[in-house]
Amino acid sequence: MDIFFGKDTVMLGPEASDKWGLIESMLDRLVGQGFLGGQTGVNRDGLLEAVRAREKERGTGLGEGFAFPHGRIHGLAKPGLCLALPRNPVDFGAPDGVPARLVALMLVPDDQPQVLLKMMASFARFMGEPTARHMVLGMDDEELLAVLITEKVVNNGVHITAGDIMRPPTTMVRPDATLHDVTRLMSQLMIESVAVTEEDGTLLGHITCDHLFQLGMPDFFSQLKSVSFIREFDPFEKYFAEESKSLARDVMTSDFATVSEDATLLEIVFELAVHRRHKLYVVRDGKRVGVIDRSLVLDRVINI
Amino acid sequence: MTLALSLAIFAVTYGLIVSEKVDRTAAAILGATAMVMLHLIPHSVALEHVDLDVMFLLTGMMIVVGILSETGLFEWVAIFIARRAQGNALIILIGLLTATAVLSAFLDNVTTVVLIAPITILLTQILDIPTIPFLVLQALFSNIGGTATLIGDPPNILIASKSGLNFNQFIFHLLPAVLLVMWTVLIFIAFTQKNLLRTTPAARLRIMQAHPELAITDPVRLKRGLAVFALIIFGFCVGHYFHIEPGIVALAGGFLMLVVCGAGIHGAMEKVEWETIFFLIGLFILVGTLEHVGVFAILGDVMFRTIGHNLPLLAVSILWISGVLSAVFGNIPVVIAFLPLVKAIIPAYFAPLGGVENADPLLVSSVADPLWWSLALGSCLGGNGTLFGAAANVVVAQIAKKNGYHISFLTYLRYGLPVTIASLCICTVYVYLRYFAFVRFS
Repeated sequence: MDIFFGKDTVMLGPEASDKWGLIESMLDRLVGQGFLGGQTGVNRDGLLEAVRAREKERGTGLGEGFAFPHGRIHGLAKPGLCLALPRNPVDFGAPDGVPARLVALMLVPDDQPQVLLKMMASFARFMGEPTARHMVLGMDDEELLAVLITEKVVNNGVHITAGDIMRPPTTMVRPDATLHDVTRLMSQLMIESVAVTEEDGTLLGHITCDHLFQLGMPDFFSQLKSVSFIREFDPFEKYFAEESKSLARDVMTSDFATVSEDATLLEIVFELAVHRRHKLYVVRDGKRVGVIDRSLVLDRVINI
Repeated sequence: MTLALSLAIFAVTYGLIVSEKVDRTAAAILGATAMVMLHLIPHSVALEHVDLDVMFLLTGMMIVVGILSETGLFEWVAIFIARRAQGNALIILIGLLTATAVLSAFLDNVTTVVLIAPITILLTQILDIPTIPFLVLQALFSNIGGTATLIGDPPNILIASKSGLNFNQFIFHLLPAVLLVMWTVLIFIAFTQKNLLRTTPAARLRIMQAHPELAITDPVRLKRGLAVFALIIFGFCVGHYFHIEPGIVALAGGFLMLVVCGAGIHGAMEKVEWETIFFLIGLFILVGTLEHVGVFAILGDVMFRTIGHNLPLLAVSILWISGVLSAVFGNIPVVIAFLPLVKAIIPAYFAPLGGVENADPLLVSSVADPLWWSLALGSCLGGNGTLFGAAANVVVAQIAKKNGYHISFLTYLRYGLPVTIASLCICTVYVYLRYFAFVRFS
């Protein structure tokens, strides 16, 4: 990837009281090193405004001490990256509440969002390894850090894969769980579907709200054009009560989509959009290792 | 050799259709293509046997029903009957069965049961009464009602296309028999099912609180659709005076309804049961091949030699044989096989009298027509005999199964067999009294 980045845009131990102080100093470093050289129509304030706008939508702290503030800028000639290891960790509003010890400020032309995505995925993959993370956070030489990041992240040229963007699996039910327990779990967690797995994580099936409503709504209702003509008849509690002792294995469906960890972004979006899937299970050797749903793709891909 | 090979292919195909080992449409089409590929019938002759008028009639009426069903008409009919009956389950059952018969007379009866069965299940659940008898009787009445008109049941559509009999003649000759059968069965139900249909005051109150008018989801489309439908029925009634075949009336009516009601062509085409259309195409070619190689001429001759000039016996034989075979094998294939047979009997009957060409046309129709009516009554009502006798029976059983009600072969037989035997007995008397008791044939 052709990115404005080098030892001069690596900052080791900058002082910053808050994230905006740090972001502004990183912007100053980029602009000071000639990032905007020769460009008209783009200036430092414009860059800051883009980063502010993005940050206002949602914090860019990714968790585990890593933040990725960024902005998409109209008229920008090429992407630029500034890396900072602040002296004191800075709060970027990460979901895990851990302040950022490594901050990567990325600015891209507004028609190149894929560069941002690839960079984010590449960083996440590299920093996901504890030894790499430990090495990076312990570095005290800008040039060495710049070379390392250039080699491992900037020039890596990775494709975005399911493994990069998936969420770790959190909820599941066992096949012998009763439907009563399944519905309770789904309502408590406010989730639309739940995986049915063996002890070792082997994916057996899944249960969705659609299935549950179909159980509570016998087939003949689907043939009626309306039911508004009969108002004093509300049998659904009875229908559900009849089904509540059923086991998850009896009501689960095998009509779910799985992808491997190395499925490309295009494959993922194809499954979600063209095959109208709400959720994809990421599997390794038949065992569930992650989940990708539509909101996740919107969050991590489309809304970057 | 040609005759034997044709019969062998026909027998294998028929076996596959009846056994349901493979899809019946696929079996029929593969059997038909085998006949053509082995040159048992010339390609052009095979295509001539595919009756386009039947295809047009079925396609047109399927489009019509598809559009009307979207308006909530069928839900309205059922709820309206239930409210007027004030929740009395026996009156509701009789009302629903009558409505099913009337609707089936003017619409394809498979479609009628598909549309009326779901609302029937809902009604039985509201009233907390047994669902299975309602559904089985509904299938029976869809077949009985469908017998009354040219467009009501596929066997009648097929008979009309081969016999040249028109819409009005079908009603004039078949409706009295259908009414006799209907009333006999309804009276029998009223006496035997009374205890089964007891309802609680709370259930009856729920029915009384229903609002049938809310069932109509699209009143504008319904009004327009019914106007076009009335035009179609008018077209059927007067069409033969202008030499316009029912198929053209139905097809034009279907597409006119599509335009007038603003329905989408894709949705309308999805309502057409293409598998039925292709099943018939396959059967037409299969039976056409048997006709081409002379099977039916031989059978007609044999039947005529056995029974002789005894026309009442010939008619009653057609009525019962087609009825029993329809109950066992399904009425569409049976009637397609019987069409050329009846067509072969008529010239055989007139052969000693100098041939059909030299006979008085009035005499020819007075001989031929009772045979056609016997075939119509036998095949349509015979379809009630078993679960596999008519498509409507199978469809009702499938709908029931999807909703947790199991209609077994024997359960169906408990209702179907007595109704069919009674129907065929009534029709025997009807055919004899109407066509033979007061007429002398030379």
